[in-house]
Amino acid sequence: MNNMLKNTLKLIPSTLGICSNIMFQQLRTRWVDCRMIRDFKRRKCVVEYADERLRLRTILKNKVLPVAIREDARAMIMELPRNSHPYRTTYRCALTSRPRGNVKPFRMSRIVWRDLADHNRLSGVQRAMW
Amino acid sequence: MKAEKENLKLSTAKNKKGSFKKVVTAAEYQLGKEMADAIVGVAKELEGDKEQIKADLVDKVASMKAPVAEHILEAPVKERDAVPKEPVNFSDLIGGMAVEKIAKARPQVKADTQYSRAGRVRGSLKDKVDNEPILASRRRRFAPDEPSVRAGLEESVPLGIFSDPASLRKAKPLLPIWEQMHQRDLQLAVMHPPSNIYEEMISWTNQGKLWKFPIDNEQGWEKEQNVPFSEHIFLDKHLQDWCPKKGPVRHFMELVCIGLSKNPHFTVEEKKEHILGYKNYFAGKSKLLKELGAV
Repeated sequence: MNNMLKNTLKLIPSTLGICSNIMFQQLRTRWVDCRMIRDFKRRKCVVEYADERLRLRTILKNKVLPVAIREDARAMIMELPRNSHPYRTTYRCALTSRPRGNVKPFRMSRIVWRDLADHNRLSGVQRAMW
Repeated sequence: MKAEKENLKLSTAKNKKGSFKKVVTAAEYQLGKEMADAIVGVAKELEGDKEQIKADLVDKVASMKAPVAEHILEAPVKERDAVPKEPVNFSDLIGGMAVEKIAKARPQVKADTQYSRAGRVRGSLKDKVDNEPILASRRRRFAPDEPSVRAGLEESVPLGIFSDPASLRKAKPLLPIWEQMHQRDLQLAVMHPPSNIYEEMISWTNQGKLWKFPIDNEQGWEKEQNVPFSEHIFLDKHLQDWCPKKGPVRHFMELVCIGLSKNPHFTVEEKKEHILGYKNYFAGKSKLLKELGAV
């Protein structure tokens, strides 16, 4: 019995030792933060309901069809999930998840954009001089 | 004997009064009288430079772990204080000494707590802490423990999970990404980076980054290569079955078809799906349409 205890006690300091020796590295996954993940989920929803929305919108906005049908289409479009609205998405920076101050064609925040441009990582981008 | 002992002396110390006193030689100081005598005897037996032999033996024995020479502790004060002129090799001296292990008196524990679980744990922890030097315990942390049960490969009856173990050698390993990376490595080993701009531009063209000559406007549109343009433009045939010939619905659907025909981004299938979607919608609202008189 004593031997068993000794054996179990031997394990405890060894595991603690190993835990303290692990080097903590920066965690780099696809998503920078939760806001980015939420934005991605909204975009998925937008894609899912895109066709339906398009058809209902065309029915809503035309002046050929009778008013009652247009009203009906309006009711239907409001029943769709909120996250299927495309204007709920934000054009965040892909590297830092910054919601404002983004350079859209590059999908980056202005700060990251500037940093990469200065280090010659952006094709066709040059310091302005005239 | 005495003459040889004097040869072992590394220095002589003079008293204030000027007379020579019996001095403890360096060897005797380090090793002890008996050891010094033994060294002298050995040197006698062996052939060669006896001084060198003695010096070597002194060094060798001094480097080994040996307890503090007793005669030093017992010797009178004068002898002890007589320090040889040449500095004593303290590392050898201290190396010769061993640390005394003073057995700690374990506190008197009551019988019931001693044999309780907590008591036993405490006891075993104390054993660990007191008796083992730090380096050994650290070393043991990373060394694997010996297994308590030794398992042999051929001893017990096989489980029979694999019916044909010989065929397993031929089986492909389930490491698809590994295989892909290996293939990539092989390709990279053979490929060279472009040596000039022409090779670079060739590689870009192959990747699809540059236009190919003669210029084809539809470069990259592999999906709709074989679909004729008439299918994109003439979409009325999809309205034939279900759409009424007159009325607001027909008007609306014709507008939809015109719009789709002008749209270059949709594929033919997508356009058909849109028209079908409208069909389903209006089929669902047929009651309302009849009420309104639109149908």
